Amino acid sequence: MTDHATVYDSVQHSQRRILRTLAARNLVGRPMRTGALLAVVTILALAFFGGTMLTMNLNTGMASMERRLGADLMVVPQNTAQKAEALLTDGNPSTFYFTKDIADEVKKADGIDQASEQTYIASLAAECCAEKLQIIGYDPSTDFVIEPWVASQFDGTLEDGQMIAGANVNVSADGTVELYGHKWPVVAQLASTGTSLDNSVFINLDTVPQMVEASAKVAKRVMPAEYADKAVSTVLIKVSEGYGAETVAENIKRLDSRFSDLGYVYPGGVTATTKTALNALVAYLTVFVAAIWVMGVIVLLAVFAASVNERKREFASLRILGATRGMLAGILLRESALIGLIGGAFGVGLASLAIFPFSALIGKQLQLPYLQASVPTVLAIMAVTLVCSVAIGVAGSLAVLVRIGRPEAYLTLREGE
Amino acid sequence: MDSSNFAAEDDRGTALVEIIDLTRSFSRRGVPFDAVSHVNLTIKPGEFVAIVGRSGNGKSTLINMIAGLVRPSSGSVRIDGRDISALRDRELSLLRNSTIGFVTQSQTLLANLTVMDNVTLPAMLFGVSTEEQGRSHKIGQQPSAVAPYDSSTRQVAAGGTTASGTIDDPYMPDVIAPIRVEKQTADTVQKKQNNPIEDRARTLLERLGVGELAESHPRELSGGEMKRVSIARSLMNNPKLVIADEPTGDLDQASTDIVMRLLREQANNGTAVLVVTHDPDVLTWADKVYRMDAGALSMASV
Repeated sequence: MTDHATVYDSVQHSQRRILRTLAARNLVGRPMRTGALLAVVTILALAFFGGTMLTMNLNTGMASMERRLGADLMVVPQNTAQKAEALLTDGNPSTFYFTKDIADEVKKADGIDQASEQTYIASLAAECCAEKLQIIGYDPSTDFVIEPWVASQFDGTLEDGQMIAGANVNVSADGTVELYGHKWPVVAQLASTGTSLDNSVFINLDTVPQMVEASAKVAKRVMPAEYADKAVSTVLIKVSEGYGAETVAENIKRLDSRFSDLGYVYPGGVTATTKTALNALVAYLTVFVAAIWVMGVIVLLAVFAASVNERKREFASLRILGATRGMLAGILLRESALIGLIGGAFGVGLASLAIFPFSALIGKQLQLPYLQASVPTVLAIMAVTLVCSVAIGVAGSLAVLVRIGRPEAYLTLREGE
Repeated sequence: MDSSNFAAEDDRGTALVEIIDLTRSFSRRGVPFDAVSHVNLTIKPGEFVAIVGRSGNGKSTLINMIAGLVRPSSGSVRIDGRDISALRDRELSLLRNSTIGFVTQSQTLLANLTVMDNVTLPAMLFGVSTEEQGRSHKIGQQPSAVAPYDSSTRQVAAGGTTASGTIDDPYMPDVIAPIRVEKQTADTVQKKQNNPIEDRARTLLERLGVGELAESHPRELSGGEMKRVSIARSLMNNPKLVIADEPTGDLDQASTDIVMRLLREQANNGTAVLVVTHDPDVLTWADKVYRMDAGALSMASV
């Protein structure tokens, strides 16, 4: 019994080895053809995965930006509207302000449901950060923009001297950020948004004078001392039901003739402009990827079809030995699936090398909100890419499968003689 | 005569190949012609049949129809009692794999496999099922896909040895011995690690004088060596019928003798052998010689 079992195992091992490795050996035995097929599938997978990731990250960034922009109208100082718009997307940190009495006046206009003040200070390059930091002072008692977003990660009250850090801010191990020679305790760090908010820290308005004083001790004072406790960069407004943002802006201008010179930013408009740019880019990407795939399928079909003649003798030989049409199809499908899988993995790998390490750079170059999709989403796209790559490989071999499905293998062999 | 002897006598009388009124028509430049025309032929187990004839007279088409590789226009082919035109692809493939050994005129070794893998390939195509494993263990035999060499009568070598464990004739060292399961001893532990399929392939290759090429690839072989490897491959599953299309085409005289002696021994062991050839030397090994002329088959005088 043991003898038979040993012999039998040995036989089965051989059977598995030859039949399972036949496809791989065929691929290794034809390095030029295999290389060409792999290159085509790699390019297809790279285009598909890269294009999909890019589109996905832009859409995620856009959705994230929309969620952050809860205000219908931002009132900012004269000539600073562009800077304010830039803050909403991915511009550089900046400092601009008017005084609190103006803000208080603005808030009296008709059609305002909620209003909250924010103060923006651009830091110098700090130890904590690769880039200049945007310091945002906000009023937790009236805020309706930052709090809902922060709530998911911090549900306490932001005390004086404390900070909430954006995703890209390096918080030291002791839970502080060193800024202007002072260690500021960080109570929460926010998830990535794909906008300049990732390079921001949030403090309450009462902490702004402390920050200004700290800056004066180690570097250039970020604003005159007398303004430190009354500087306001923007009044964020949520309009009442039935009012448009433009109408409320007009109402503000009517309050005081000086208010006509203020800047008025409509975040909804900023979103719409960004969306248009994003949609155009996504459309280009889709057409580009689709064109590459159509060309790729044609090339694959051509290469496989060309290999039919070359492989006639091989298939006929297998038929003569007793291989069924199903066995031949199995060998071919295994070959093409291997090509698809390996090419797909190469493509995903190459695209990943470009996309993941240079995520921030891509976002900056595109001038669009760009937010890396979640790990499960990325893994799902990788899986879909691999499945598509395998499917395209199998589709490419269809021509050969149809040919070997025909009877009279030996006639085919004689054609090849 | 006891009943088993009677049965053996009866088996020898049954035709392994029965061809009845077989015709295959083709069209050349719109003009139909019969490549094979109303051929009748019977081959019994152990019979060595040769077919001669000029090129283009339908010899290859005839043997391809016998192997089920080309469908006839009319008539029938029965192999081992089965009408092959009624078989499905899998049944026909299995028949081709287990009952027929085919040596093609052109080189059909797989370029990406070694000589050893090429020769063992026919034994690998239809796997051994768990059911077969259990059954073979129960009755104490090798699995059927491993050793279709179990018939004690068909495995008897020219010298008269049997598969049941009797001693091989020392004067017939070149007999392809049947596979046996040896008693477990310290000496046989290593042997048991060997694979009986590879053992048989190696024996065949050595028998044909190409044993040292087992690990080579076909591209490293001469035409004659490839032909001998093809013959080893055709005998791998110990077929009941060997069909060879010009088996000595690329061979020198010494190699021709080796090949023909081997085919003759197969016939002596009960295998039906059908050879298509131009080589007059081959005809001396045959029991019957037919001539194929314009698609028609007739008995030839040798």
